[in-house]
Amino acid sequence: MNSCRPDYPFYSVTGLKPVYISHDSLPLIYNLPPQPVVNSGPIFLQDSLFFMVEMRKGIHVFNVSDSANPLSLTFLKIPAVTDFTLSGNTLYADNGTNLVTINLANLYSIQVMYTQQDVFLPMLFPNNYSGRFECVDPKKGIVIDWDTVTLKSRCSSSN
Amino acid sequence: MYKTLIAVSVMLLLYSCSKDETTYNPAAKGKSGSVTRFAAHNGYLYVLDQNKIKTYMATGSGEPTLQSTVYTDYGLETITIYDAVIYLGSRDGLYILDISNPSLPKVLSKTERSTLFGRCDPVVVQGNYAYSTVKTTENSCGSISAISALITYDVSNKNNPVQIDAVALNQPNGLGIAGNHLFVCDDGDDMIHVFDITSTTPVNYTTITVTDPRDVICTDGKMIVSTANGFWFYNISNISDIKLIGNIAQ
Repeated sequence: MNSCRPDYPFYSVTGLKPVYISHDSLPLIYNLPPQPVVNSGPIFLQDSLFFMVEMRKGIHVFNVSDSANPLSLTFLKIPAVTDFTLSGNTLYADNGTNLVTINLANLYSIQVMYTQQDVFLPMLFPNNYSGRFECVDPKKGIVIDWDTVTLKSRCSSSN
Repeated sequence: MYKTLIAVSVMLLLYSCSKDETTYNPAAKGKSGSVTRFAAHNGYLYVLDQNKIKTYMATGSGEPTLQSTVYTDYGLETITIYDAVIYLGSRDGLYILDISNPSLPKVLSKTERSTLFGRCDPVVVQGNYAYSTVKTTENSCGSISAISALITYDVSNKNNPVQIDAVALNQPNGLGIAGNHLFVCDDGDDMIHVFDITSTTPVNYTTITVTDPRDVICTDGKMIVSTANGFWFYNISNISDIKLIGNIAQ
């Protein structure tokens, strides 16, 4: 039954709200100087290079030939990235709903070789979370993060 | 005739020069962590997306071309390829896929896990045994309870994998194998559990204290542990004396 009535008072609840980036921002893939590791994701070791995702932001690259003194080399900025793999010097990563193929021949000046669209389904809800959240509207862009906010709710049943 | 010969030689020379090969060792075979939805194998790229595995022919310099999309149940989480066989960790079981035709993976089997709904589910395989961690959450009226474990499967028969053991863990994440030892991240206990798997089923051997461990890569007597904000390097060549070598942590 519909439990939403105009005379119900608003009440507030803490929940998650999606943070969007525009579709136009997705192709902005390039190198940045080394960045701090804040929220790591998938990892890959190839030869003396160690790659680690910074969730939804990019991929850190470290030189680990001297394991006592790992060196942070560069940061591959890849909007919305969550996962990747490597084959030789080709890196395949997700980039929102796109699959990008990146040439690492020059590690400090990466080149996007190919971008394929609509390879992955868009993220519609936060991972590992049970609680209130504002529904994702894919027309607003690609979700890259979730902010903890006060959501306003008028209905007494879950939305 | 002579001019043609020169023209052809020049063309061949230009062609070979334009095929710029890699600048780091193309023969180096890389190794991924256990928590991943992507895997490259023999010129093919396999990616998971919720309820499907997509196969691309991906030769490095060429554009990846979609070869097939194979559908499964919802909840695919991780992929690992061992001995030319694909193992998928998912929310409700382990899948085994045959890739003798690499462009068209074929689902051979799936374990059923009716009482546990796992999350993350990374898998590692050695010989006839697969090891997978599952992190379970039940949500009833907003409460969460976690039932998590390290599961051992006998995968000698790819058409019928059998669960043979389960070890309760707090909040397990990624895992790795080096010889007779299994290294399992436990985010809840802030440690790496080191199990002895000489007798197949995991036996507690020791633990390593690490804050927020997420995944590991074991190779050449060394182990890299990724954490929420960095990574730690260990020497595991002498398992009775595991040494921290170096790290990057914020």
